[in-house]
Amino acid sequence: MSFDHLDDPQGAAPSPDLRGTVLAAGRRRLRRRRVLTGAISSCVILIAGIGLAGAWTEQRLDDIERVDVTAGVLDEPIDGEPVNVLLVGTDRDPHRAMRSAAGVDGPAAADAVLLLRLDPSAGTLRGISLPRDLWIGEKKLAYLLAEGGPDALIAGVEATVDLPVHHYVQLEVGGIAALVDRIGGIDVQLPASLFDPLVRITLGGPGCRTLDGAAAAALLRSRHLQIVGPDAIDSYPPSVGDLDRIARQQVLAAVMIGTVDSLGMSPTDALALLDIAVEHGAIDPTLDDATMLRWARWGLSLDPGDIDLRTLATTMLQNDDGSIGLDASDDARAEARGFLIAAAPPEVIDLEGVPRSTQPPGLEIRPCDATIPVDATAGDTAS
Amino acid sequence: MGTDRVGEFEERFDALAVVAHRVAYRLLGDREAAQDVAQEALTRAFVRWRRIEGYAEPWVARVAANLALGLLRRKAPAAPAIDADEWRSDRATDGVLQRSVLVDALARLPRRQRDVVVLRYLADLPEAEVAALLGCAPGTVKSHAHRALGSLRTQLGDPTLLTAGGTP
Repeated sequence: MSFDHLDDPQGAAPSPDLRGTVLAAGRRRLRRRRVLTGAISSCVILIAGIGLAGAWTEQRLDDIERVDVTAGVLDEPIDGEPVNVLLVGTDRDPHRAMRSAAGVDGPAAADAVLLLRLDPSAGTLRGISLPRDLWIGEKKLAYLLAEGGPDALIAGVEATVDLPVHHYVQLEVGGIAALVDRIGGIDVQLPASLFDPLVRITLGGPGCRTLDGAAAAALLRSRHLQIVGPDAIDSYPPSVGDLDRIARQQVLAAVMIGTVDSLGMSPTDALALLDIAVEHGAIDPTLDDATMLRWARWGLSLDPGDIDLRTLATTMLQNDDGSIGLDASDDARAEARGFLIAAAPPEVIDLEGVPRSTQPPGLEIRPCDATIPVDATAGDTAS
Repeated sequence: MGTDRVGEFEERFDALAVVAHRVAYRLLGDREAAQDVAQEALTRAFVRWRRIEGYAEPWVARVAANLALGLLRRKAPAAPAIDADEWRSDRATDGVLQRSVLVDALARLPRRQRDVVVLRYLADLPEAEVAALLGCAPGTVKSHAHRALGSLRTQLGDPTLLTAGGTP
């Protein structure tokens, strides 16, 4: 028995307009990817150019903070082999620091954790986002950094995806705010008026709005975004809110980079961006200027289709003490590892009942083309 | 994507469209939905063409199957429960019922076996192409297929299932 009897009685030949529709849709997606890649390349060219141009820049790069990673925790990369880089977005949110009585200068939480795999031989860049609320034993991923430093976070990530980490790069969320302010804000399409009382942000909508650095940083932090008014949506517990946030962060990152690209950058602008990176970034002790510049040159060779970022599939799991977090099954971990190391990345696999990072209906934030005057505030609780 | 790439994609477009539509329709049984799935699978193929052109047919087939199964899963709460007895009943001539039973059975298979069933028996692709996509030997495809069909026969309670005409 075959499945012939389930075939379309009208035949499987494509309709006449399908080809045109597919090509048009595909070209639109490629253009969107090119904006992202073009922007990355622009930054890389400028920074690489500056780095090669003068001793001042090399000295400035030397000013980047070095995080404390115990010798031997990071694996030595092998020449010609792919390099795994752990990119961590940290947050010293004053509001949260006060609540935890840790003080503003208390340890930072790892709010965005992305394992990147740079494969110069294959010419690909792939990345897996790990949700901050992922259980690593009895602790959540986000707090491994605060409680055990980069060593603990690196070990947690390695245990999750069963791959070695070769380098560690960290960027504080304040750097994002400075970047957004430096480029004059970013424009996003809001579905409605939104607020999040925990990060103290109110955004007037619907429509296109320009966000300043503080508003953009607050939105990057937000895990409890709600619609202002009687239609408020507040049915998403924090763990799912984390997945929402990852999806939102990806949109905001694309908008930020697209804005940088569309503005074009003078050498002064590029130096200002370098300053922001130095001021708010931190790297592991083994990452040298030459390696960063080599990555920069390699980045120039990437095509849009060579970059692929995904999110670890997770399910909600309540701990013995009642805390809610996220758990990744063996299948999900194997899927993430396989995606990073496979010669050809598999398509996203349906893991039954496992939520992916998507923005919830009614709360989707998108890039926009037209801009309406600023109507976004951060720092004030919604009234 | 350069002009050559577009040309290469266009040259193979009709064959890819047939594979995508066949897989989607066999699972969905709805022409319009199958066309939507095929369009999405083909668009993804176009965007990733440089990386997948070596095994485009099986890649498109798997994407179409995943999209169709995802679509069915989202609609699942409204669907009535169907068991294997109904597959064997007189109503088994009803394509809607057969699809429901098949989709349910596919969902119970391990991922690798499900991929093989989709590619070999829903997309009617040869073992070599399936092996190229999955990155394994043709013999491995064969053993996955053997185990998968055994599971399906057990689940559907039909020893004759897929025993004839099942080798494309």
